[in-house]
Amino acid sequence: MNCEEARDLLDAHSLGALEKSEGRRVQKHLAGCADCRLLHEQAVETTALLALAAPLRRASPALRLRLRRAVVPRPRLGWFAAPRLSWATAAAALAVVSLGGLTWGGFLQTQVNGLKTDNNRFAVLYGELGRRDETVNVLQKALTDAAFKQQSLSDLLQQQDQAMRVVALGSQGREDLVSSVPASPARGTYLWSNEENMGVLFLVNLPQISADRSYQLWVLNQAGTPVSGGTFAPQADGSARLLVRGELGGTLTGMAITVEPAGGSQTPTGAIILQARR
Amino acid sequence: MEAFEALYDRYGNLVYSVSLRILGDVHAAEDVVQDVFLRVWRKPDHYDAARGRFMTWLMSVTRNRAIDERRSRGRRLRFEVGSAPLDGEGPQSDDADDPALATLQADERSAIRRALVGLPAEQRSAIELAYYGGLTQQEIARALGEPLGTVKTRIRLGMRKMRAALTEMRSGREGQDELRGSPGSAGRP
Repeated sequence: MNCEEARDLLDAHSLGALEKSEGRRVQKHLAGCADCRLLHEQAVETTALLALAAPLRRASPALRLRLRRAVVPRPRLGWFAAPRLSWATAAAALAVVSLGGLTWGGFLQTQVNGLKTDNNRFAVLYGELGRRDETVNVLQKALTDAAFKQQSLSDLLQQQDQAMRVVALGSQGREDLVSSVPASPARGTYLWSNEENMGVLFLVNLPQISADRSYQLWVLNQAGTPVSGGTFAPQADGSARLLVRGELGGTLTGMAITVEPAGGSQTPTGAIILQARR
Repeated sequence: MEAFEALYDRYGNLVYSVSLRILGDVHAAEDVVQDVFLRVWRKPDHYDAARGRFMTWLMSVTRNRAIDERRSRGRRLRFEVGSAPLDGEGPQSDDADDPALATLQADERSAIRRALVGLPAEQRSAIELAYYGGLTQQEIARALGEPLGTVKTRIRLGMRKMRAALTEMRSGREGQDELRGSPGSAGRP
């Protein structure tokens, strides 16, 4: 397919109105033709804007609530067995022995026997109280864990919120990070928002590293000096996301990622894994 | 959550409107809105800023998702030509009292609607069947009983006119921006 043929089909292609085989031929041409790719992007934008011709309708408030519930994760608390205190035992232990119709000796004997019984029952109660203390300790630990989890979720949500602001609300600057290691699939994208005075770095395909090492982001300031943008470890799928706030993110002249000892270094010591393409 | 809410406030009704126009079913449209926003929320990096504006990308995602839903419901060929009137042409839409909706992308909405309404009816139908109905050119030709070549020409000419109208609108806006003074680019990497 030549450029003329492809250009005749770009609008239909952007509308998804080509038959599959024809669409594949256009796609193949686009892969090797930057000029037609540019025209295709314009066609895609025009097509997307057709959405604005749809009559505007207001979504129901219930949908907003549904979405809100879907995006706010709730910490999962484990279910703990409540301490089981035997109230019958407690009542028996506290009960006073009946005195009616007994002789003094018999009465005393009865009291001694009763006290022995009570002692045994108190021992049982004491044991139960001990177990309750243990349960309380477990509960306290679980609540502390839950509080940490909630804080961590809250931090994640805040980060997500900030990343969303940079990505979706306002105009962005963009830098692509490419791997400095031959044949490595690792790559990254840095988006900067003037409005939010913040940048977000998205990384994918990062190799996993040992626990005593961490990745460290370096941004080059106006003077060309590398300043640490923080350390991080990739997720299990090799992805990572970092927020770069304030002046540092907006005035950088370059960006690189190295592997450093866990906790990070004052200046880069490891080889550059990824760097901004400039 | 703030950004998510701001995002939803800005685009929620637009995403819903497009989905509803494509699917013609409130519940299905709401499902699409939920899918689209959750996708944006969970994978914001799927948006490639280098390839266009966020709104353009969001509309593409919405349209593709809604068309997929339409196809999975097997209602693909039941799209009625011109089934939903454009604003101002038919019954008043229920957004008239909503200032956020009224100002949302007002220039572009108005330019797109003007351009679409200004097209010859057959070009407009072909484009609408492709965009809102998810039909291929061949399916449109069959549905309208027209030769395939005719449908291809209608789509090409119609889209060309749409693009010209948008370019004109933008150049007019840039002229106004220049008069007002454009914002600086400090802060970008």
